[in-house]
Amino acid sequence: MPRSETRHYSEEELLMHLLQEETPEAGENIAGHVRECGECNAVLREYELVVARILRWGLCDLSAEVWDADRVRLLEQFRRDQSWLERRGVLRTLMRGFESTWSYALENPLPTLGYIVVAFAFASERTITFLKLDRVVPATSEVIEIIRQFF
Amino acid sequence: MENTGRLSAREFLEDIRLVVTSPASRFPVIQERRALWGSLLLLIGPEYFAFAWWGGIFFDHDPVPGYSFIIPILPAAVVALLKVFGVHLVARLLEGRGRYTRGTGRFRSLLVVFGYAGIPQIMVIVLGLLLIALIPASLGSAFLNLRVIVISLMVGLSIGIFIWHLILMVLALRTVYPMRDYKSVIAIIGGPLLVAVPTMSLMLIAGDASVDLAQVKPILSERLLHFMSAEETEQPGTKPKFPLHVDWIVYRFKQPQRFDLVIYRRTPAGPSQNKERRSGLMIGLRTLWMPHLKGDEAVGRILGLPGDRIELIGGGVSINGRPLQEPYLLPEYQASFSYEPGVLGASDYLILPEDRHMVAAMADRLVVPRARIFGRAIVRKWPVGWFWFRSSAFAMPAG
Repeated sequence: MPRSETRHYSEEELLMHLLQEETPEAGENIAGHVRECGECNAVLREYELVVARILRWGLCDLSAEVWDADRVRLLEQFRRDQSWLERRGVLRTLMRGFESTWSYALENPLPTLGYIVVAFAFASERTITFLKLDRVVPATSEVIEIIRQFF
Repeated sequence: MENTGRLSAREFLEDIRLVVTSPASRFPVIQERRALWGSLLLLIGPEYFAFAWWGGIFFDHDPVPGYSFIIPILPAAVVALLKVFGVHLVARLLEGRGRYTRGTGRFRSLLVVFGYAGIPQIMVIVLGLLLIALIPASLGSAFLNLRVIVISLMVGLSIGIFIWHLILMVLALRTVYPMRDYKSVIAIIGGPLLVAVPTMSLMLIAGDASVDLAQVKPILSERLLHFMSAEETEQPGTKPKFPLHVDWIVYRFKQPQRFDLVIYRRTPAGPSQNKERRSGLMIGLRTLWMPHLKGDEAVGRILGLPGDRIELIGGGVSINGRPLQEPYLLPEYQASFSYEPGVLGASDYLILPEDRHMVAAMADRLVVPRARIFGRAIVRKWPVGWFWFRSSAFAMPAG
């Protein structure tokens, strides 16, 4: 991410740099900053140590006997989990959709504003016209007054 | 960049531009700079216009030069800081999982960024004022005619601006409190609610009174009137209202004076005789907060004081044998009326509507007892009254 200001990088950004998950341009910026900034350099060194320790951990393979003993139970558990996931599918999809929409809105507030204005104005106009609500909706001056009080 | 807490005007404008275009990356930069004045200016600025009328409380004229400009800063600063503190309190509690001391976010850090989150509000205010000031009058009338389209656009814009504002506030809170976004949303909504009581208490000093638009039409500026219709065309059976700024406390300290534009109740105290529709959340809350407002408030100018001998002849008013000069009255709002002369009681006032054509319809209600007069309309030219009122509204008889 190009920056117009020099500032310390967050731990998250430094960790991404360590794992080489950022863009090449951002990588160059962070590397340049870390060379000159003692504070960020110290954080980066600390993360290097942590990552090195994690990589040193060894995991032993389970034996065939252990797998056989637990096979039926694990299979049953897997089926239960799957059916539960299927039941929760719609909700999970909605939640994921909401989360991704929210993330998009946070990154792009101005386009979001445009989409919302167009969508709600269209929906409002259609609702009023279709249901013939123009006889009961408040007067323009009343709507202005209500909005004025909210802001 | 050094974290000196300094902020130049150029940096300030650049901050505003980048908060609009790419807020997620700009808020951390503003936070690191730790400069307060830019954020405070954006926080207090919009509130200043909401309290611009406070310069007209109690005093008829500025007691010192610039008084009308300076006084609104005080309530504006109090309200702005209270709101931010409310948000801080709730956010810190949520961050500390119920314990304030466990949270790490600081009030000063929130102040540094929170003002920039109010940019959508400021843009709405500026654009609204430009709209009223610059667009041709005929277009203003068209706004009233294209009612469904205008309302739909306003609904869309209101929701859009609200969401945009919410997004900026969440991004601002992210830089101060390390917690999930939904907690930030709770703090943003809950914080102002927490300080609603002290904030609304200010309305007891000076606030709006909803009066018939037809009654204030003679003093409102032509430009403002282009956006309003005093006719019953929009909703038959209801009279269009106008929120007039009123000083509620002045008559607790002194008696009403001649030429004061006052708010009074048309009917004696007790249950309102007025069957007019008084519904809606905001109107309901206002009535709850100010129970003396019954929905039958009227506005008029005091011409006769207790004990005065009054004569109304040919549309003119004579007090104790001397005809009154009324330079604030425009020719189109003058009318011819004559009534028997009389003497006002010890607590009675002669109050005439600004539109003298209404006098005939309310001839039996021109004399109002002191108990029913409870506020003075704030008609002050500066800082924003010049835009709101006709220039004739500020003209007062010499002496």
